[in-house]
Amino acid sequence: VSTNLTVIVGGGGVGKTTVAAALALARARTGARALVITVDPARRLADALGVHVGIESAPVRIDGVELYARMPDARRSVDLFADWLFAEERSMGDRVRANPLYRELADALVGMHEMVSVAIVNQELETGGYDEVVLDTAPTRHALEFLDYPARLVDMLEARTVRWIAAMAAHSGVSLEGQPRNKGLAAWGKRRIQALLGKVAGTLALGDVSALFAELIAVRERWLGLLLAVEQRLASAETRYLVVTTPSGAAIDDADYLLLELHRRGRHPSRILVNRVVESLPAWLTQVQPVTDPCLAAVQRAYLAEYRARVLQSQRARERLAATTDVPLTLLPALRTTDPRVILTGLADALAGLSSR
Amino acid sequence: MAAAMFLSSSQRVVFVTGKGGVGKSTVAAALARAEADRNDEVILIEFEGSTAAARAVGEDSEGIRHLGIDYFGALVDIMASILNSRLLARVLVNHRAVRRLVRAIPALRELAILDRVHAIVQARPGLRAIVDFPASGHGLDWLRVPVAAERFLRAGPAAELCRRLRAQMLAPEHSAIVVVSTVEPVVASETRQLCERLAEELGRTPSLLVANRIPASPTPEQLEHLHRQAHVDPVWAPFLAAAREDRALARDAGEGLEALRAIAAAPLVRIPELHLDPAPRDLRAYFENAL
Repeated sequence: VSTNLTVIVGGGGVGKTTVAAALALARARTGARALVITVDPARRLADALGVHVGIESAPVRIDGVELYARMPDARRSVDLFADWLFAEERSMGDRVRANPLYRELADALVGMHEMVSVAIVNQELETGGYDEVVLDTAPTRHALEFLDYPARLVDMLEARTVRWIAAMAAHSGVSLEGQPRNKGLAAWGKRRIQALLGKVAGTLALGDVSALFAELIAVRERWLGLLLAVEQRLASAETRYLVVTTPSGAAIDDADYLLLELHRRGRHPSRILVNRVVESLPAWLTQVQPVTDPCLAAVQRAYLAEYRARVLQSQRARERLAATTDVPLTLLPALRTTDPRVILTGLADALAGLSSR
Repeated sequence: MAAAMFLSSSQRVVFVTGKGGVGKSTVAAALARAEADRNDEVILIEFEGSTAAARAVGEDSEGIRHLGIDYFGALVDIMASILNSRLLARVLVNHRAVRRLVRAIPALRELAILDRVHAIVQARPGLRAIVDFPASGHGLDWLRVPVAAERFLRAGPAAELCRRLRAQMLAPEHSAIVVVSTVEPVVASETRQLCERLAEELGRTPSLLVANRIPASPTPEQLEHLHRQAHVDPVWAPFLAAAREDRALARDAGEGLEALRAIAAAPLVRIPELHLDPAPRDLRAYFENAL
């Protein structure tokens, strides 16, 4: 049984996480084994589902329907990732974990989260036994970074740059990786580049760097295999991309940008989900007659003004999207409630049509 | 140099941060508008192809310079300053293997771009830079990069760069941090966590907190009238229900606002949900009046 992957992307605050959870719920309602997993460090999945969500996959019950949810913790996941990477070389893994550079990278530096998320998503796709995995990403730019990350790392690992830098670091930034095969211009260029890099890096914690890189090279094949698998999944025509937006001008700008960037990467979103749409004035507002009580009249006027503006904004958003893209739209209504569970089930109803492929 | 009161004249860089979708770019644009209107020289900076802040400024851009910093450009600058040669820096950054490597190295991008911001304000005394950070917890990660990188770089030009950024840009006397939030309790609590981490990991408190898009709701008096009306005319009952939902939303927003107020001694600017896509000029007054 192969697992379908749906990737949810969009600007900040448009409801990506809730839409991702609702889509997984809609799939689960049809009897599928569905997982929603977030790689957004904002960690809103628990709020969207209204339940505790762990760092490992666990079942969640929504109105008698079971789906799975997972919210990895970046810091702890780095160690899990290292465990996986060095599964067959335990002592090597221990050395890596003790390396001060590794600790800094794992604790503090951006980019780690993306890499670890790649490993987690791959694990769920290959061994989770799901019919559908819905992947909730971080806002706009970070989603693109996540999507680019596997290919970038593959590039680096395949370019032998890592090996090269490790050798360079080990020899204080001046030596070559073995002897150059030819003594032509290319070899001279390589020496120059290495000398320049050495100058930039200076005495950049050389021991730590070369030690860490040496360990990483040893497990290069394993790492590369993971990255290629994920890259293949992300690039596959089977993988579905959904862009979430709202009618607000800033959210549509984000959606435009994402559509452009996804197309540039050869990923073609199958749908744009416009969340919190107000298509027409609500019945509760139009069915009441004008009143003479000035206090009531003021409320009525205020609500009419607000909803007219919202209807207009939703219309403009649809026109803008229609003018810039052929990707079909699904409109998700604005739900008037503060209850996350009502929003979740309401969105799952609206997404029922999208739950099959 | 006349400046907004939450800023001292030595704070040459204003970092605008906050979770996704809270209106960071709109606030950054409004701050730039306010500064430009005080006859300050102001540059609005965003990173790597993002144009959200520029779009928020729109056509009302008089006196506001805009700059998008891209990674490889910034990398050439940084290398040029270390190697004392722009040509060598170009050769290095354009080298295929180096390019592949630097695309995958974490944190190098953040360092290079922050250094570019620093260089811009250093080059022009009197210029104030408003920086619209990328969304999410990532804004904090950006500021933390020089601190973390310095710890393991220890010595050499790159470590020196981190030290320079910390001392000359990330110290409270040289930069202000503006944290933007909305008042939904979930977002407010995420903002509180962001501020706690700012304090713990960087020893910084926000110079200004912005509570954005505070929703309007019917007054208790209006609700009372609606209640009576629904009693005599049942067609008003759903209207009453909708108004009550909004009242509940406003109560939640009140809790969120309390959570924000409890964060720190930082001044809090409250901006109501004005209308659907506000312009910087609409928001500018809130920064002027509140300070």
